[in-house]
Amino acid sequence: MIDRRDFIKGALLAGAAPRLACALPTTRNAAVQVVVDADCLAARHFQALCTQPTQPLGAPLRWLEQLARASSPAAFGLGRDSGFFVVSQACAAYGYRLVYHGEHDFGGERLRHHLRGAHGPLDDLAADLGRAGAQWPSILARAVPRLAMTDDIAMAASHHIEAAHDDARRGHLVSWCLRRA
Amino acid sequence: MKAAAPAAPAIDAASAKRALAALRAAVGKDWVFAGDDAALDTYRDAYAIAPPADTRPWAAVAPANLKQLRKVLEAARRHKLTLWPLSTGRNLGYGGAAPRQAGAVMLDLKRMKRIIEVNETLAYAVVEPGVSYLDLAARLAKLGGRLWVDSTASPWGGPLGNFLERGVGYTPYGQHAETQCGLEAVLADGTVIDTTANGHAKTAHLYRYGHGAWLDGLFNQSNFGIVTRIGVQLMPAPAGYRPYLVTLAAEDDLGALVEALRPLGLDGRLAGRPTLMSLARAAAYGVTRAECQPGTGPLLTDTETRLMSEHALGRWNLYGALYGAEALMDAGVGELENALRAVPGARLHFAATRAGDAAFQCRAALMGGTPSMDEYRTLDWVGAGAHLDFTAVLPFDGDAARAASRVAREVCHAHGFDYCAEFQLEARALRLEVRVVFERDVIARQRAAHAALAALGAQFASMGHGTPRAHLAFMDDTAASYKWGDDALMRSSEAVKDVLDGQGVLAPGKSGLWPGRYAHRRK
Repeated sequence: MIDRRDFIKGALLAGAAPRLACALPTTRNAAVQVVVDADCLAARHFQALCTQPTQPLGAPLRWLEQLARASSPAAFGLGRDSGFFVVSQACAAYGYRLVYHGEHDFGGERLRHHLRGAHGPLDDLAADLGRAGAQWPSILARAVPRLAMTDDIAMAASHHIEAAHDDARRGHLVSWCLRRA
Repeated sequence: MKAAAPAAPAIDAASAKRALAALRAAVGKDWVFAGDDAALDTYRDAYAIAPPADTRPWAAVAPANLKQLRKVLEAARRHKLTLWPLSTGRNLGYGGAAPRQAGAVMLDLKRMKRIIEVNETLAYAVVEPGVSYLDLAARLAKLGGRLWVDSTASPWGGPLGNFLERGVGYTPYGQHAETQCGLEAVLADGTVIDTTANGHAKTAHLYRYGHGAWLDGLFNQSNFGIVTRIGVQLMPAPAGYRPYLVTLAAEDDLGALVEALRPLGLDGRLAGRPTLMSLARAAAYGVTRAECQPGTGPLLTDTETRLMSEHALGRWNLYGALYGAEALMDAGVGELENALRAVPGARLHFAATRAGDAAFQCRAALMGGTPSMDEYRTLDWVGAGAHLDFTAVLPFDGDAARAASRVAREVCHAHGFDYCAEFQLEARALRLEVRVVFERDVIARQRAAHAALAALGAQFASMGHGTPRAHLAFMDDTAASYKWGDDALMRSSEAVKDVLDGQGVLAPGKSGLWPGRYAHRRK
């Protein structure tokens, strides 16, 4: 019998999200599901979090189906905003709420991070990213378990971090964490 | 943290309490969402251009079947509630899942998600409101893929809601108003009608007409009843499928292409429902604006030239497909090549040369009966993107296309937006969909997008072009653009509304049609 949590489920599942193709079927840490955009060069830093890091998932929205069926209380992602949008919209129906959001602009001579989330884990992440430079994806990957622990949807903390960073590639990525209420 | 207090309906606290109790009695306590329930937050427009509080519902109720739905209607009538029906709630760009006014009770039909029938012999399905294109595609795949689903570019929406909102797809079955066949609806007083006039007719989903007045259209984009099931005719998988792209080198080629394709459209040789996309709209599948050009302002000519060169795109890009046996498709290519001889800057491409082309891959999937959500990638054009859509319909005529495109481009640029547009080719008409892509978290851009949509509506109305779909915020304005004959059309609709839903229970303001008890909103 369908329960309240599964409400809206059918309309959301079994399809295709924007290139969430490198969605990782299972994660080492059962407390958080991790999804990283296949097109994202930073994805390799997150492989340690996953048991099958290189296996593409095929039809992209299947990841959402997996998330819905998983008992994981949290989901973390890094990729394009459109992927975040689709996942957050779909997951809202399952009671997932945003507890962390980061924007990462790189290219040219500057690297910028704009982070929102709960004090504590976010403050620590901001401090680490301030020193990370090009290694920021690695730092972010290490922060995932702590970011996923919070259930504070107020996201009262906010940090802007800007650093010199010489990178010919220009890009904009978002990272996010959703937690089931 | 608790959600913000919702707006209350126009009834006192004691009555509201009784109303909620009646709704819970109808569907069970788990399926009524009210008060500070965060679930109510899901009934908002994800691309809101007004503060969410403006349209926050008072409650939501989710019946599982027709019996419960009729009980909900009974409760609504007794307690003077207004219901805003919702199928899958994915009408993004036109208002999403939000109602027109705060205080409504969302009638969420997502639990009514049965695929009642798939008939492989006669190629149709019968679905309820909560069935998405993804659901239907999965069912058809499980049955062996002998039938295709014609999906929109937003397949988490469903066939029933898309039909009701005059949506379209991209295969030869892409005009969804024409592939719907058979319809069941519930009126505000609880009466259930089947428009084939006989719920047991063996041809209910094969032949569109019963006896007497044909009422299906009455429920399309209206608030006369709640549609609870429709028949959807499905396309048998063709023997072959060959997607193509025609790129145009110059803006001036647009009119020439439309003229060249019209004869093919009129006599059925233009297969499927081809889509002609502006450069920015096609490019946005694969790159972001920031990667093309820093800062704000319209794309520079140099930028556009570079985009065209680096991504092998045209100033305009026609995505189409041929279907059938190889010989038939070869003949179709010949027809197309002949037609394109009249278009100096046209170049024809096929899949073999578009392997890394994200736009081509997405369009090829959709035209080939495979749902894809990759169109959402185009919102990355501006980072955290959202979109408002404006749709106008114009004659299949080169001059009309050129003039409409020029106006739409000027409006977009004047409001600080790139020109992201597409013409969807019908047999005799062109649907121009202008997509205003904006940064969804930037209030100034939300307002600019809203202003752009208003300007587009005013401009196209003054040019005499109709608007087959309207955003929630512009439904009254759009309705007012159809006021010929002393507003006879609206007055007739109001008369029907007064008869079928005199109490004004269902979707007040839908498509600009207000019930009598909202007389102050009637024009």
